[in-house]
Amino acid sequence: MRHDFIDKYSGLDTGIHHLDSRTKFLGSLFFIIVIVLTPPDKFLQFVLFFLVLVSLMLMSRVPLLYVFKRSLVIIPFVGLFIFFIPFIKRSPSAVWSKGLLIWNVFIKSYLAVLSLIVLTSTTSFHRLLAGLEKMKVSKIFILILSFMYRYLFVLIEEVEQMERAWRSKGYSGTLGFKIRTFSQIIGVLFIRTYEKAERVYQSMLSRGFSGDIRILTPDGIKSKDIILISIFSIMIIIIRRIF
Amino acid sequence: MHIPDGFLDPKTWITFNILSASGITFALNRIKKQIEEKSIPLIGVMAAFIFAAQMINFPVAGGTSGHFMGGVLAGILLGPLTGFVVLSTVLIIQCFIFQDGGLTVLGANIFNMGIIGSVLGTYLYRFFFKLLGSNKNNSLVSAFAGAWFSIVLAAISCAVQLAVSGTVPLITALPAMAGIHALIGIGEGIITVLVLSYIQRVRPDLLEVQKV
Repeated sequence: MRHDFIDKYSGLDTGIHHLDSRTKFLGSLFFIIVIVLTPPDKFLQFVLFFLVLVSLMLMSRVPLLYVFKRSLVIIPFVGLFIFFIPFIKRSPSAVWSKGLLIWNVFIKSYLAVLSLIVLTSTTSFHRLLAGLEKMKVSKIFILILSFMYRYLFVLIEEVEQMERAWRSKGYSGTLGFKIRTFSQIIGVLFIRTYEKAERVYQSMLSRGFSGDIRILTPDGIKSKDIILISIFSIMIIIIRRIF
Repeated sequence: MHIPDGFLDPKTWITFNILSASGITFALNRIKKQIEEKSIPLIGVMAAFIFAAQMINFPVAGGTSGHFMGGVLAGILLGPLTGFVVLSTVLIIQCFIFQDGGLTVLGANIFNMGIIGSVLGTYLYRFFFKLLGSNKNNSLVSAFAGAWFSIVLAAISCAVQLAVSGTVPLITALPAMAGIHALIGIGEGIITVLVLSYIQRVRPDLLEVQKV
């Protein structure tokens, strides 16, 4: 199963997990924007940002190895960028060397990915959506997102079954044959999905679905949230100003 | 191509966040007005479908594999604005859950794959369809063209965003991105056509659903 890591650690019982999802979302957004806006030659600041992230991981008891394994997703894009480096005649700002240019995109995208992993492994997606709804994001949009999330697992499993069947039957043939098989898998998936969507809506209606997301232990912004987000922001600002 | 954080400069990502956010707001308002309540879960489940379809690996020569984007397919099946919303939700989930694409550049990714990949691609499909005259074969030819253009134009837009940000030089990035994606686009086009003709054969009624 390729989806078993989704929401894997978001149910842990630590202080960070119990924060309001808005606090964590806005904190992460602020942090990522600061990271992206930091000039690349401030090496010490990036090291400190990294340490802030590591301490957040330790505090939330999300295994470090798990976070670092997942952070490898950015490798292909950074690789593609490095491929373009030899073609850059002179760096855009004229001050940065090519090495600094690589460092610039690498460190920023990497730290941003780490922040997002920390956010999503301490906040379940439903809580995140409930938080976004409280921040006045369109209700239809939240509903669409939550339906999508709910059915993602079912469909991923269905896709895996079909893919496994395809592989076990050879996975080969001429290119034309492969393309036809691939397209038919998608076609079958579409029809099954469509039929599923109709059944799902009817069964949800009959269970009293009214369009609201209900969570057993609702979030609320407490004084703890305000204190922690203030300490966090002040720390980030101090790192940017002093080091 | 999911751009990660740090690859675009602030003026670029802020502009595209504003563009995409207004696009989504506009699309949602239109959908709310024109569609029955029943279709809201359908859109969500369809987004999960596009997401799952993107996960199927297509074996390409040399151990590499590619996948399907589905922007034009979603646009043809559900309508351009719904296709746009579907692709946007897919990108949002990919950003949050899989860290595929960054948070600050979400607007840029949504612009490339939602607005260009789905809305523009679907309108190109409709344009070619009108141009060629309506029959079943022309519909498939137009779908191929729409899907091919959607991939190539999305790649060009991605290259321009990276170049405007000073991350890569336009003069090499543009031909490289457009060239690679001209090939990938052929795959996307063929698959879009085959999926559509499969649905036409098996459940033609599903092609007649309300489109926004």
